Amino acid sequence: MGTFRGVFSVTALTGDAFTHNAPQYQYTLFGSPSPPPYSKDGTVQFDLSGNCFFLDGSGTPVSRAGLPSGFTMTSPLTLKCPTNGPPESIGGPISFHAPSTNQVNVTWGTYSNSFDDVLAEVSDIPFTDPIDFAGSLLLELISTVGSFGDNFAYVVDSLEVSGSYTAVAFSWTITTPDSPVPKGAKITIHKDPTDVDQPNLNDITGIQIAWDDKEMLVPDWDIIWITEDIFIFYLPYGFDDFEGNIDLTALVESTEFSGSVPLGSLTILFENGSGVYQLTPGKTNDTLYNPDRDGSTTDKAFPSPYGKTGFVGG
Amino acid sequence: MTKLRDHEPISITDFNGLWARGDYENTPLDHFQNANNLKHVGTNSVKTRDGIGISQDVNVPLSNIKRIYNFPQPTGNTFIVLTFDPDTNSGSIHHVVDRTTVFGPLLTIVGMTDFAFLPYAGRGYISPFTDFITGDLTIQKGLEDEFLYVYAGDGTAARKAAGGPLSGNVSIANGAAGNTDPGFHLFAWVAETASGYLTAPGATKGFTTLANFSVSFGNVPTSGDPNVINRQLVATKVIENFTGNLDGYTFYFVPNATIPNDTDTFLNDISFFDADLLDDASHLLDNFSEIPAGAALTLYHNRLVLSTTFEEISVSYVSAIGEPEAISQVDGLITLPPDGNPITNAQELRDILYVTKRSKTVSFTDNEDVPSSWPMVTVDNALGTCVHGIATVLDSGSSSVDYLLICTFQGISLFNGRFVAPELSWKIEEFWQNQDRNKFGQIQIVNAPIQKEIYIVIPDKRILVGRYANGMDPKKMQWEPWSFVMGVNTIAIHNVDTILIGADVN
Repeated sequence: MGTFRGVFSVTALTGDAFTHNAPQYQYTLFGSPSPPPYSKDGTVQFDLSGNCFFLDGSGTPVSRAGLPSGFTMTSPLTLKCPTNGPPESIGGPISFHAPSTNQVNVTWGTYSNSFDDVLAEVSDIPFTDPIDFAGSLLLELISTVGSFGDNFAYVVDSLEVSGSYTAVAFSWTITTPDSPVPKGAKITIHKDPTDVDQPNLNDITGIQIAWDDKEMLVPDWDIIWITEDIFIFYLPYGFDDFEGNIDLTALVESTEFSGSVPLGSLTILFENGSGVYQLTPGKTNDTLYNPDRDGSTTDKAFPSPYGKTGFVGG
Repeated sequence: MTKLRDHEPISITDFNGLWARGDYENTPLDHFQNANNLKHVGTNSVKTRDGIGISQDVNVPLSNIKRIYNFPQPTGNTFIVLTFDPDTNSGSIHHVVDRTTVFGPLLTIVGMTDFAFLPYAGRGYISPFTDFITGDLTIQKGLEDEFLYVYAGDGTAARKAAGGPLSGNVSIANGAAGNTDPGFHLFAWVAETASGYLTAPGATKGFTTLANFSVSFGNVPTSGDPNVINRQLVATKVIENFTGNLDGYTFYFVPNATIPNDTDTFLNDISFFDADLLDDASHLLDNFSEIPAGAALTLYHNRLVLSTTFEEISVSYVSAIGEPEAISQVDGLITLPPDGNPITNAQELRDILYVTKRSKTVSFTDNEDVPSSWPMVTVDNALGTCVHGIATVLDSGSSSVDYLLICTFQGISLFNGRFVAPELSWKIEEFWQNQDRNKFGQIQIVNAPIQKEIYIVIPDKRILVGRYANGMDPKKMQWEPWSFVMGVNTIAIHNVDTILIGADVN
């Protein structure tokens, strides 16, 4: 258990309500001369990619990758804009009017995963759910003023979150029949059965595979066997022409831990067996052209022939 | 099987293939939750699939295969293969005649990752296309600044289909004694290629004929195109008040006025009366001299239909009957409502031309008038298919007896003028709908009636096999996915029942 603090700087903004007076971004809304109410919106994006996390009161920040394995937030978060406040005077005296609750929409999430939407004010925002640190934070401001002269503004240059966390160390390992791993190969995840502090493997809700800025979940039908200590699945197809490493992550929901557990990387087997072939009735292996295209051939066994029946009594 | 007390043994004696529908824990006992590389035999037994062997017995076999098409020729069944070189980003087309004979490359084009092909009269029509990304959508359409090509089938390089008019300053004079209707005529020349294409009239010149004389021509231009086999004289009837507009009059083919080669530059002593001018050549002025490349080719009522060019994704161009390279830019087109989605396929069934987008199917009926007048009827506003999503049968490249097999987002469906529900892939609904819709352009389906099997290349480069030996019924289909060490891109049926597989790197 410990505490953490994250300080994120602005990386991008959208919306015509914003002006940039470096290093600050000023979001201003003036009462409309036309019949009110009058509203504008815009977004500020904060960068979470650098060394922006401070753990246990330390003054030395670490990156997301530097967070302890199994890092999990255990308390509601507090979020605030440290420099939120009135701007410099623009075009004469301005009266400021704070937006009412729920007029500021804060979206927290990752670049590629689904977002958790939270409605709150821009400062001192309580979060109730554990949130994965990945990608960026998107702050969306949707504000309305009711009458002329009913103006307000924010000035932001950074955002700060804080809360408490726990770290669960995992000793899960993966084994493969070959390395590099052919598509369709049987992958086994093991858990040390003597380690009772870890979630069981039957708490895994999905296996995520990431490669080359893409990702997919192992389909249910490719999952073969699940016990507390063993989880077996077939490496799915669908990597196109990708040649290189894939990253495996287990998605876990348990009483001890909910989140993602990195399992490690595998190298996909890349074989150039391209060419024109023909199915040959009765043939018991696949004969491929030699990748050197020298006229020779090589025989290969069929990749994992199997049939997995339905559950008996299921 | 040994029977334990109070426990009835469960014997599984029937295996009816993959089941991927609903909760996978509820998979019927005679089906597989998951399977790989199994083949059905008999009524409901399984064994491992058949192996593959090499198809080419040459020192340097073709590699990195992207597409295979059957190319039936008078001397036998051959096939056309697209290979791709990622180093040069170029696709090359080859003609594989048999295990030891390969012609080509017939055509090499930068950016050609796929092509449409139509065999016709011993020739092959080739249209290069590729994937384009528009927003979140990956679509297939003809390559920009590329064209329809025609391959003679003899190993020579494919050439651009159609062609431009002749040009030059022809000399015209009265010939020997003969017959013409006296008066001012316009004369022009049409070149004919080996594939029967007639260029637009060119090298036009006016001349006033005299009643008792024939007409002779000199300095007749040659095309320089080795595919031109002759040049034919066309002429107007007598023009009373010539306006100076060389294209504003109706041209007719002059009988018996052909230079039978592309080398001679004269044609002497041509006699004709205006009453002999019956065969109208004016429509040639409206034809494309270069036909833009599209993503789909098919044949309908002996007309070539080319769809989805780079510029026009909702238009199909339709040729003149029996003249696949003669496509009128004025009335040789049929149009679907533009909705941002390209035309993906077109296929004739029961005398009707069905044209699809990814989620729409419409029909056109030949009313024996120009294609632009053909009435369009919407068949389905939800279901369509992809560029290789209509099953070809054997080596025909077309529909089976009286139905089509079509890959839709819903599943693999029988189509008999409407999509039959439930779809044939009902048992594996979840498996099918798990396929990436943006990669449906990689799906290809063929129907092998001899084996009573459907083969579908799916986006993850496996083959999905559907066996209908027990009946083409959604609940009797037996589905099995097959995987290979290499990634499968394309499939074709050769010589009735030989299944060809084209693979690139996995």
